[in-house]
Amino acid sequence: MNHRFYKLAFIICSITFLLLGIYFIKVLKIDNIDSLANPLPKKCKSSGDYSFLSVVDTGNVKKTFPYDRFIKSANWWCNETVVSSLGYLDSIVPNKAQENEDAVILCLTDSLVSANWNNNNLDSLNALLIVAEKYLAFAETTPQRKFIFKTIANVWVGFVANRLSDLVKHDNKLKYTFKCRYIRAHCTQFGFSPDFGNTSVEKVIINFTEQNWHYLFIERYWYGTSTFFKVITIIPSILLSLLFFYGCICIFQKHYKK
Amino acid sequence: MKKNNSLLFAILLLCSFIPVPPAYDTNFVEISGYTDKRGITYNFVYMNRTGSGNRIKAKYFASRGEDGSSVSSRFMGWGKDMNVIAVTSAGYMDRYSVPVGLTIDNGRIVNSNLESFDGLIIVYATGGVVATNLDNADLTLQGGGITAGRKFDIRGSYRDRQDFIDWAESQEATVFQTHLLVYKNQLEIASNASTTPRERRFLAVGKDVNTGETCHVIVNSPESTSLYEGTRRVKDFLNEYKDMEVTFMINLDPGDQNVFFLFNRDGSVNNSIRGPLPITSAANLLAYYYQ
Repeated sequence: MNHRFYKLAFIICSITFLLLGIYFIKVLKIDNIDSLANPLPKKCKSSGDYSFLSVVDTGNVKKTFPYDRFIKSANWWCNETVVSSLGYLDSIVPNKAQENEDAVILCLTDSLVSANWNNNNLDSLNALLIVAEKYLAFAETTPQRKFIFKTIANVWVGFVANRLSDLVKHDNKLKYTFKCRYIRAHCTQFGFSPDFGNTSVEKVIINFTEQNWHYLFIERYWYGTSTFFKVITIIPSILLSLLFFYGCICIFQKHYKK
Repeated sequence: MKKNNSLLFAILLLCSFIPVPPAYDTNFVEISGYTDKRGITYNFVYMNRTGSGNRIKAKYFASRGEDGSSVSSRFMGWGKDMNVIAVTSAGYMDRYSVPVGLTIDNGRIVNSNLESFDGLIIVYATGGVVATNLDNADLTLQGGGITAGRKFDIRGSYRDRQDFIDWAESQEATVFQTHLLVYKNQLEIASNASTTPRERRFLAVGKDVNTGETCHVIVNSPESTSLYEGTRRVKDFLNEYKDMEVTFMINLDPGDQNVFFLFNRDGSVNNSIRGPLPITSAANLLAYYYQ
């Protein structure tokens, strides 16, 4: 009987430790050796043909602008081609520089990002940041086109920051991966901070390590939880403490008491 | 020598009778508590800004100092020469202690990321605080070459958003984004928002219906309630017991940076409302002072 009991206890303990081990490996797995790929070509191969923009109606630029065609054929990731396209647009729709700029801004923000871009892939999000960086640098050196490039770049970085926050909300472990932390740092560098919250467990750990005992035990635990929660946590805690002290007494009596 | 000592003693004695000016005028700053007929207690700081001749002012801190000093260090460096009435955490913060939402401190961009919160709070250099509901797209600005009467749709128009940020930088403006709980005396908060019961703290800005004077009120409701219930109760309290029409009300109790310090007019700490966390926990601070 005794032998059987010890065997069963040994099997249960082994399985428990094995499961705990697997769980910790899963939790602690941080993707530190990952790298980011840029899906956009490095070189600009523009045909210089912007005749497809001639469909734009001078009376309503925003409505008649060929958004999809522009995204597919204008090599938008190269600032030079965007400048050339805008120049062509200004020549066929004169005296409406602001409307022309607004149409290109809409095309490269709402049309590109929400309809034609992979929003779930961190590589794609990072690619937008790379182009945004180029745009911002170009904006600083090109005063006459500063506004459009700065606006588009800021919309992209804001989009990436918000998208990253959404992805982390759906999968909390993502925020510990290299890619996510890299993109977050990149966004922050541009002045856009993605909103990564903490889970309840993370908040407890942070307050524990920062020794905010009053906040943790009085404000959040005593005043911030229900009576039922207090009962189901205090009783087991007392029992565990009693068990601990009983164990200590037993050890002391067995080994140290003469 | 003895004569000199006597003279010194006389000067010291004279100085002890010269009244020290109070840190703020209690005619315009009222720290009090109230229990309504349902037994619900409210602790509040009622600041009559118009009545004080606009000597009650607000200042917001969100960016680090140029030497890299923290927000709390910046506040403490500034506050040692000021008659501070109260200091509180204001907007929300993320896990990296960065304020969440569009935040600009004195023209310095802290966070350009526009969040879904509907409230955009502007703290003027004159010490005034105004709020705009971004959903209404009716923000108007002055100065910095902005056309008079132009309405900014910061959420809907990328051009307006960029123009607003450029304006804030050039005009050294201070803005932050947060949830607008009450706007133009109407509840803006959804009934299912943050149902976790806890102590609630709010900042309300509005007008005294009897005098038309602008008042800023910080209300602490110690009883644990949901955000919606807490908002509704405090709005009712201000409407019914303080005769105040609330222009806007925001949340001052953003959990992880629950920082609040209230000072008596002699500069000592008043514990009737106090946040449990040290000032260093705050990613951003809103200070009220008397000048």
